[in-house]
Amino acid sequence: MKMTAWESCNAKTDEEFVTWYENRNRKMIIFPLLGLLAFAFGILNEIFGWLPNDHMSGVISGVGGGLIGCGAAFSLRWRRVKRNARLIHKMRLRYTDERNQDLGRRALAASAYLTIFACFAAMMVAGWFSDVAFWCFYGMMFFVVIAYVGCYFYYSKKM
Amino acid sequence: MKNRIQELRKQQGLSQSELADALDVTRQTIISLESGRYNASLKLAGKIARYFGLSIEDIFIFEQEDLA
Repeated sequence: MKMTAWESCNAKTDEEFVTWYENRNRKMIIFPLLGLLAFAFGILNEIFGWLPNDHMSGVISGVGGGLIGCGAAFSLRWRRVKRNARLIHKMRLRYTDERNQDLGRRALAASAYLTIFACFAAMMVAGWFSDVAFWCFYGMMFFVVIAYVGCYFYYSKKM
Repeated sequence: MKNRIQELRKQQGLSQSELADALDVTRQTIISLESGRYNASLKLAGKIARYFGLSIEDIFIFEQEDLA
């Protein structure tokens, strides 16, 4: 399974970076599309009342709107950057600079550990009040651990 | 790990930005390298050595605890 859309950029020139970034953008289009679906679902739910909970309807619409907004903002930003060679160079360095990449990896690793601990604590507390909340946190914690093991084996074969 | 990057950069009259542009890294990376807070990868160390026309050992000072 290729994970190139989420792996770090190794572009050595600005032209390579533009190709890599546009290729990644094409794969990331899934997020604004999901946002559109979520937003549409939220609006339709208001009309047809599929979900019993109005609050969730608003949350789903909000998340959908947020994803669409982010997608649009990133797209506009890229159009502005693409016209300026200095901005492309600056953006490439942000992605390819080894210290930035190292920082990103360490931050992600630390946040994954913190997420596991936070889920565990939340699971212990939530278990007193709600089975659903308990199993949600349990599932999230379990998923992070399984994803870590899977990614560890994937990268150990690659390196 | 200590290094002579700042000393060599000043000898050549370069700013941190100029050195960063020459090595294709950010200025913040040069700052972190010079202060010893960040250790360059082998690839970047090689680039720095080639830029200054010296060997890696001439620029990066390996102490006993660094090799332990």
